[in-house]
Formats: sequence, structure tokens, C-alpha cells
Amino acid sequence: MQWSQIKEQTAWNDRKDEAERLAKEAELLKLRHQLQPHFLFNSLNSINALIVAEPKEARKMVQQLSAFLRGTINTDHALIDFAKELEHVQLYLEIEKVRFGHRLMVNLTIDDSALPLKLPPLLLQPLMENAIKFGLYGTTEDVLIDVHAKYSGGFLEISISNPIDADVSTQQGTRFGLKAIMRRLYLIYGRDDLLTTHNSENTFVATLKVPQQS
Amino acid sequence: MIKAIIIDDEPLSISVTKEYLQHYRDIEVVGECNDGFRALKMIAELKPDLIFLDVQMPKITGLEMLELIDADELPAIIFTTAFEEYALKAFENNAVDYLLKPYSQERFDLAMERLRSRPRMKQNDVQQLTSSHSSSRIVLRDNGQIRIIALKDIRFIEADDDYVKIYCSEGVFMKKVTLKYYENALPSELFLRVHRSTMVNVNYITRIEPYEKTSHLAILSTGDKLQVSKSGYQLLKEVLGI
Repeated sequence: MQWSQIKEQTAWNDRKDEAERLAKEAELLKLRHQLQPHFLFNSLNSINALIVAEPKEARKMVQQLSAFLRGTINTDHALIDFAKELEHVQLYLEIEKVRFGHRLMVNLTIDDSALPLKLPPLLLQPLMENAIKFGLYGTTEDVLIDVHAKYSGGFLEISISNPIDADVSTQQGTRFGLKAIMRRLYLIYGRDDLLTTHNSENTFVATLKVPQQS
Repeated sequence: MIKAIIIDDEPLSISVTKEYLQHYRDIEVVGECNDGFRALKMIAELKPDLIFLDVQMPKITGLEMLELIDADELPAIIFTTAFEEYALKAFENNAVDYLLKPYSQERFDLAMERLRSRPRMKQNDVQQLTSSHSSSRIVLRDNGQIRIIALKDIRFIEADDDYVKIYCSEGVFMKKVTLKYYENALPSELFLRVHRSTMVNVNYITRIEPYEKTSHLAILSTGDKLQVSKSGYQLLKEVLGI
């Protein structure tokens, strides 16, 4: 091959790589920003209710919702501390608790070893959202979401469990969130075994493993 | 006095509706509940004239709940929903109103006005509405119990007068709808009407044998043998690519 041809070939390859990288980034961004319209409109509806009955609570919820939305439009690609992602999730949980009242309980068991570990931003929240939706729409009883996070053998390991009724075939859409997360993990780490799910009679458990650099 | 029940899984959402209703002295809220199961009991006991109904709720949706109300007990309905991808068009064509959350007092008042001037929704209208809302399951009553059956567990559905018989892994169940209804409501790549009185889940078909002169038999993996008409056979050939 001539030198000029090789140069052309290399440039073409670079462009191809660049195009692929951009496409991947766009897809990642889109996957990350799949904000559920249900969540947004129902939160606004809760605020609408609170404005008259409990104006101070209404104002608090406006601020929580704003902080949460600001967090979701952050376009930084860098990995973040798990502690930071947890803050974002807490905001989300506060809002959901206002919406669903005592029906929704969340137990967070976070090992200190997990806090400084790294993960892509906005990964945990959609997982929580999925568990809450799955739980709330899968049973008429109170819903306890159990979250465990720890460092384990080179991974940040997070498991989230929600109750389900054995006799309920799930309403449409509840599994969609998980597919989007799996796709994101694949695009970032090139692996499809980082998110696993386990179904027992009354519980659904999703376990996420985020590789840590040694 | 008009008796009303508010059905919504979010307590604050119920309180908005109650607040807007304060202006209506002829409407009394006789009950409120957070899911379709309790709502069905409440409707049977309190016989309301009007219900406010959320769509996405625990275990069964508001639409599925409507299918389970006896035709002569069907109250007037105003849907309240945050976001419905599929159903809005269907709502527009029906004798019913829907309120998109968060809604204003003015929009609420308009719904109440319409309620008084429009004819009531009948069970037929409910079926029209629900059939356009394609689902991955069938909800029905069986001896007072509510059953939720996943489509993948259903082998075939058979017409029987005003009812259909649903053959699934847990037994045979009846529901008061026409087979035509399910032709619209069920995914057409999964359930095929292979005979005037039968729809079959294609995933259960293991082979097809000639039967008498012009028809065929579909043999299911469970051993069931279903008669297939001439046009049903054409349909099977198209969908299964044989």
C-alpha cells in the first residue's frame, strides 16, 4: 500500500471511530435522560394539592423536585462517587414518599466501604424507580424497598429488592427501566452480566455490580 | 344527592379532587380508595353515581377494573390520569371525560358540566375503550375472586354464547365479552382467530393436520385439538410462514 493510501485509511478509521464514539455518547445520554413523565406530572399534581393545604410542604417539594431535575440534566460523563449518587437518590425518595405516603418504605443499608466507590452517574436512581414502580403496582399492600450496597471483590455491589405478588402478571412497562440500564452498562463496560435479577415467590431482587479500577 | 367515589393510589391526588368538589353541594364523596380491588368492593356496596378513576394503580389498572363492574352497576366515570401513552385517543371518542394531572378547577368544572349533559358510559363503551388499550394480560372474575392471567399462559379462547371460555394453565375461566372483542384487544401476532368460535395462541401450536374436506386441526403442545376453518388456515399460513 502507498504511504498516502495508508494515511487516508488511517484518517478514515479515525473518523469512523469518532463517529462511533459520538453515536455511543448520544445513546448513553439518551438512555440516561429517560425521565418518566408519570413521575413528573404526578409530582406536579402533588404540589398542586399541597399549595392550598400545606403551602410550606408545597414549597419544599418544589425545591426538591428542582434539585432532582437539575441532577438529571447534568451532562458530565465522568464517574462519580457512590455517596454523590446516593444524595440524588435521596432527593428522589423524598418526593416519592410525599406522593405515596406511608405505603412506601425504603431501607438503605450502605456499608461505609461503598461510599467512595465510583459509578456512572444516574445509574442507581432508575434502578430505584423501577423497584418502586414494580413494588407499588405489583401489590396493594405496603411496599418495603430494601437497598444494600458494599464493596465486594473489585466491584461496587448494590442490590435492590421489592415485594411482588405471585399472582400478578406485571403491568406493561415495568421491565423497560432494567433494559435501558443493561444497555448503558454494556455501552460503558462492554459486559452484559453486570445487572442480574432474581425472582422468588414474594420478592424481586436486582443486583448491580460496577467494576472498580484497582 | 349525587354519590361519588374517588379512586387513586396517591392520597394527595384524592385531596385535590375533594378540594375542587367543595363547590358542588349536590355531590357527596361517599368513599375513597387506593386500588381497584378495594374500589370494586366499594362500588358494589355503596353504588355510587359517579367515580373519579386513576388509570395506573396497584395490581389492576383503572381500565381493567371497569371491565369487572357489572353492567347495571356502572357509574358515570371521569378519568384522572397523569400520562397515558395509548388511551387518550380512545377517551376522546367516548362518552366520558378525562382530566390530565395536574388539572385546574376550571377544567374540572368543565368535566362536571359535560358529565351532566352527556349520556352515561355503557358497558359497550367500556369495552371499546379497553379493547383499544392493548394489554399483556386478561383480568376476570372467577367465583368472586379476581384473576390476572398472563397472555402467555393462555392456550386458546372459545366463544360460548355471550361469554368466552379462556383455557389457561390454571384452568378454564369465563368472561362476558365477545370473541370479536379479543380480536381487537389481543396482539394479532400472538392470538389468531382460526375458527368462527376459536382464537388460539400460536406459541402452543405444534402441528396442523388436515381434517375432513376443507378444514384442518391445530394440535397444541398440551394435546388440545382445535378445528381450523378455511380462512383460519390461510391466516395461520401467513403468520407462521408455512
